[in-house]
Amino acid sequence: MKRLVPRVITSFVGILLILTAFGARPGPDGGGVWPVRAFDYVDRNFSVWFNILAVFAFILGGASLLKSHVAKVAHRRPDWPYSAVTLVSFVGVLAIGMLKLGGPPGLQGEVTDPGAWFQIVFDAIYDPLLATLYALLAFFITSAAYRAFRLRSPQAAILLASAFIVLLGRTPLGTWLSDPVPPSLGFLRLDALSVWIMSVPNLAGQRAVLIGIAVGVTALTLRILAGRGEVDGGGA
Amino acid sequence: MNGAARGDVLQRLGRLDRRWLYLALFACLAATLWRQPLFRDGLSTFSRPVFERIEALPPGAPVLVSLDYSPASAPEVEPMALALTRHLLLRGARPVFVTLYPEGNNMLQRLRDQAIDADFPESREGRDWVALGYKAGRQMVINALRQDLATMYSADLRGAPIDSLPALAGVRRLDDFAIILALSSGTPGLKEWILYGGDPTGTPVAGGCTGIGAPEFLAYFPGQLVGLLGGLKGASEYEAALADRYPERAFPRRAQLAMGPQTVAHALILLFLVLGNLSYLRPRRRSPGRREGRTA
Repeated sequence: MKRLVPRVITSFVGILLILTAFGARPGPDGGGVWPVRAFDYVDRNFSVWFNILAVFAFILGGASLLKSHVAKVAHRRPDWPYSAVTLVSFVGVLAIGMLKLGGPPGLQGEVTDPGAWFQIVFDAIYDPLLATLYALLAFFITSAAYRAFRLRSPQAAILLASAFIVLLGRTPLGTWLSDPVPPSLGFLRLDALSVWIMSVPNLAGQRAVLIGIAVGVTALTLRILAGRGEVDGGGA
Repeated sequence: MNGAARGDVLQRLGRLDRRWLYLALFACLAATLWRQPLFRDGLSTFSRPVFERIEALPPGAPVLVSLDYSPASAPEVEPMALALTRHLLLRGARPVFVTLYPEGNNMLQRLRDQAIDADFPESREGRDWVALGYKAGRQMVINALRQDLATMYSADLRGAPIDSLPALAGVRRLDDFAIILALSSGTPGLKEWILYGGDPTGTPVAGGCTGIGAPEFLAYFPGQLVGLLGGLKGASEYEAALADRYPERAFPRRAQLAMGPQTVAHALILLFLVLGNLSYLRPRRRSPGRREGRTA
């Protein structure tokens, strides 16, 4: 029963949403025969219900984060000071946001107002931290490219040549280096070659991956709708 | 230098300590950031349709702008948001800002400071543009907007009811917008706007993304996606086109200035790729022992 009920609900909702996707009418509401009206109703309201549930997921996520990190700090598990920092940051930012400190008061007061503490925390701590973390990628990519791009095989040579063309073609340096190329041979310009690599060989690979994923998702969906796939029933 | 010594040098060039790479990159980036060279740029196959679409918008056209990025990708995506917002306001369009990212409201505040308040002080919130902000629910928010804007947003970020906003006059659902501009750095983002917003309603979708994400979106171009600003290069192209089209407005050229460090970094990576492969290019002698081993 624990497995059956979630599967039946999942199948029912899934089939209903598929029918709705094809049966509901785009555009203004009102009128129509009953199945179409029902599909309209489902189409109109399912997204809203989902969004209400999504808000509760934040509460669940916050509670889960608190539970795991409090336990880690309380039992002095390895790396517990990081958990302490996480807890202080989480509770601090939550309090600043919930109490709308420094910003316009009231439920409608926006926490991103220039004077609000929430915006100050964002500008002074969150933004520089994320920007720094992302900027470090430039160093790691340089090191990784130097070590990984080696002419070990003909395939590696093609990859290396493509990397050269795209890296140059995506910068003004490529445009400058291509300036001597006569207009009749414009297709040999580095920027043109870069666009060609992105639009033809790369795109062929991307489409193959996309179509493969779509077929896989369709197969998986059919299994779930038929009650043969794994459905997370909250520990059922 | 004899052959053995040359080979030794090539071997060492192929095994440089990563700290030398970091130091070289840091020095080059610092020097370029200090000098701030400005390179000329032009629209590409992918960015031109975005510029032309916005240039062709009639005055007062409502445009949905979704800011789906965080500070991590802001150096690449934010210049696009700034340039597109400036272009929309120059054309007299009505940008309506939403976001599917929790950090989106903060990014919207920065956009308001840097592009709207700084360059268009005469524009009025609610009349010329609207900030609706963040809603939880990822792609389901798009699905709800497709049906009715009011199901998701009863008021703008200031708390003004959406029915009272002149900028939203005649806008009830997604297909009332002239175009959807999605600036994204991941999921949910441009792809979700195409699949859940553009495809079902027929509303044109254009947008921008990080450089690393651009190849994924080319599969949708030019049918489901009318144009794409790919990475910092795309933003730089758009800024350059805006400056050429409206020379009387001297907007900051953040992406174009950032192309200097990016160009130098790319050139340095290429230089290291060459150094790393020099040892592979030298002629090698066959090892008789290995050959014998194979035969055996």
